[in-house]
Amino acid sequence: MALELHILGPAFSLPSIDPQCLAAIAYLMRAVPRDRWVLIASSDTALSPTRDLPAIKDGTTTIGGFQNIVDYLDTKSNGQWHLDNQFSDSTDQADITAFSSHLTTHALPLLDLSLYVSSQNYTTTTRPAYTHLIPWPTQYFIPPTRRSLAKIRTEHLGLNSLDMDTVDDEERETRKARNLVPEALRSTNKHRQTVTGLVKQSQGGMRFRLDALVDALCEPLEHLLGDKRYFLYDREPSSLDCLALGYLSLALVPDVPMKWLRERMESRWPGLVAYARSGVEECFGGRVGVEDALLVDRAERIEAGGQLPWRAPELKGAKFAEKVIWNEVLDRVPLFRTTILTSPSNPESESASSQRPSPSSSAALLPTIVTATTALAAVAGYLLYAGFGRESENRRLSDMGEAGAILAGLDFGNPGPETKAEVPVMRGGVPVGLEVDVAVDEKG
Amino acid sequence: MSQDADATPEEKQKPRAKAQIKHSSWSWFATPQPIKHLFDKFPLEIYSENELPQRTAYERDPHALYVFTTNDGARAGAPSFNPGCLKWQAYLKFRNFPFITKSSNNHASPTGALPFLLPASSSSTSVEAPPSPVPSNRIQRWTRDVREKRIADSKSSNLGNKEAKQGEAQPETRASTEEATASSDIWDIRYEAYMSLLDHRIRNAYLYSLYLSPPNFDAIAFPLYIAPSTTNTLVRITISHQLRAAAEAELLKQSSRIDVEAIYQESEKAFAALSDLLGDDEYYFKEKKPGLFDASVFAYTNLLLDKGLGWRDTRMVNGLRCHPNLVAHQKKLKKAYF
Repeated sequence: MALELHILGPAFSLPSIDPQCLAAIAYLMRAVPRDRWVLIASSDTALSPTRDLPAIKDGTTTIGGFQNIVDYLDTKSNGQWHLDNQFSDSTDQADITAFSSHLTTHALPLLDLSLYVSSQNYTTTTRPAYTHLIPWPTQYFIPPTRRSLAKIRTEHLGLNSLDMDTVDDEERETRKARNLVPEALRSTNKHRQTVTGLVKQSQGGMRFRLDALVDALCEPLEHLLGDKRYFLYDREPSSLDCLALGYLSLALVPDVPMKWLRERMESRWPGLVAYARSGVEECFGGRVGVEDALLVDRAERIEAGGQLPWRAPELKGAKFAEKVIWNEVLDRVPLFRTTILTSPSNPESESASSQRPSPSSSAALLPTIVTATTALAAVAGYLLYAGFGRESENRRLSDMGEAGAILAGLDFGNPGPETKAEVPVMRGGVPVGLEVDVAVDEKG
Repeated sequence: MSQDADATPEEKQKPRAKAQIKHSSWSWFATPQPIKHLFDKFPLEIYSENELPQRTAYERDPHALYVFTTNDGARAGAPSFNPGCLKWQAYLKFRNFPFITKSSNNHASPTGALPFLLPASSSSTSVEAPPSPVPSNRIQRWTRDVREKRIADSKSSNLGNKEAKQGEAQPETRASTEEATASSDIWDIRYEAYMSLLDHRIRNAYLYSLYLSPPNFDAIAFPLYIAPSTTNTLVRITISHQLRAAAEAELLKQSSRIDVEAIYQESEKAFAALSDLLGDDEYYFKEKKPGLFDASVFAYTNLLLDKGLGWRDTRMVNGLRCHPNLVAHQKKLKKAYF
């Protein structure tokens, strides 16, 4: 039976929206014979014992996570499907480990900032991409969850001014505080214009720091690559090459409005860019659309000469949404929530996911199902609310068309739609902060 | 960094202020205007600021590194039991920097995290402001600055004293060699990559193994981090819960589930890679003296190999013991510097 590789679906003309999934696709393309595996864009994180895709399903065994998949393929094929086994030198193995770690730890924050934290890129590119991949209503809470996780991960970098929502929030907070504090006690020096302040305002400082982050990622990698075709040797790729392809392609391919990541890489690290582009061509074979992954008839695909062995996911539409919501509910029930997996790679002790009641098998437990359904409704409502709430902070009633205009008229409490909310509409690659100031000046 | 984030909206506010006050003035909970006017008159008089208390000079004479350690350990200069602190403690020792350690906790630090270094106040000029503390991420730069300053000072004094050509040549050469060892920022493409192994893979495994593995938490983390701070059982329970939750949250940032097996395996691979990088050399990157990378490795290996701590869940320790050169590296550094 063929191995099933489950991934998050395609986006930005790449076969997946997630770097680890892309890495896994590249690895299987290079290591496993094509007729031995299929690619399924199921987007169903509950499949994986680690709750993260990619996951590989081999009969009853499911393995989640890129490194675990590499190890599993190694044991399953007795070392035949292991790209790194050809490097007998221990220094090569050490380099693969070290640079993989370097890549994941430095590239992930950059992708987080570029695709999720930056409000502009998120609303114009990432969120719409998710809308195409996953059925209604899951797009209202899967992308925001991923976004808030990305924000947490990049918090320490102090670059949250990329995110217009937090900037507005902070502004609201300071405004509130200002109204409470007597005039004489308000510190005046905060409003003094400094050179650093001006630089920051024009986002020059932020750009500078982002560029430094990009350089920290690329410099060691480009030196390791040199003139070679792959990172270690000319002839054969390693698992590091697959991992790098996953992260670098997501940095280079998506067409986002704020292109700092791509621009810096193209201007400063052309070797790495050329390497990633040729890797995308080699492994993923040109543009991949959502329809390729979700609607395909397999026979048609092969005739059309598609490179990736797609198979349509079993769960679609409402059924998928039901499963996702159900799992979200269970995740929020305190006693059900298991965050620590002690032996997931052990196939005998099946993971937590299989011990959980599935929606169909719990029919015998009537009381449970009653409470669970109530909880489901409540949490689904909460999730929708939270999803909307988080994303629509800057929306006003008047943004909701005619009904909104009527409701806005009824809403005496709010002093009408704020003009400010319209400001962060961007054109071209103009930096966020600069644009805001200019727009206000025009009005005032 | 947080200051930067705060500053941006503040500065932006100025041009916008006019438009915003109009919108934000109406609220159920807003202060009524007459009362607001009344309070705007306060305070009636503002006194000038008090001067900061100047400590007695002898106490502040040496540089002081504030770390997690016991009071006895602080006096003896024993290695800290926190890897982040031990890394910098070891680094300063390797650089032959005179300093004393002081027992402290996160609440004392200006950045909210230990270690931090309080430079010695220059005793002659008591008027000048006390030196500001140096957080851990600036220690390396600070040591370099101090060295350069000292070299520059000695150079100028030497030049002033004797203008003979011989006297000039000597400090020059000494300065250059000292500078080379002081900065010693050997740039190697592998430096960053292998450093990420320590900062992430090994740190993750260490976090799990110390805080989330119950036998280790009871045997090591509890007596070292929690017991000294309070004797109240309820507070102890709360603190230990908070510590564990923080460690869990840190690990959950990277994945939606903490995959213990994967974490341990990654740490084992990381130790193998570090062992391979060291090879048969004495110190990392073929240096003659141990540097920051050696300090970073030592910070973890010393704690893991410390029999006095009493690791119960020895998975990580065993992973380290497979590599004799890493064990020897730790022994040598411990013997030479602690």
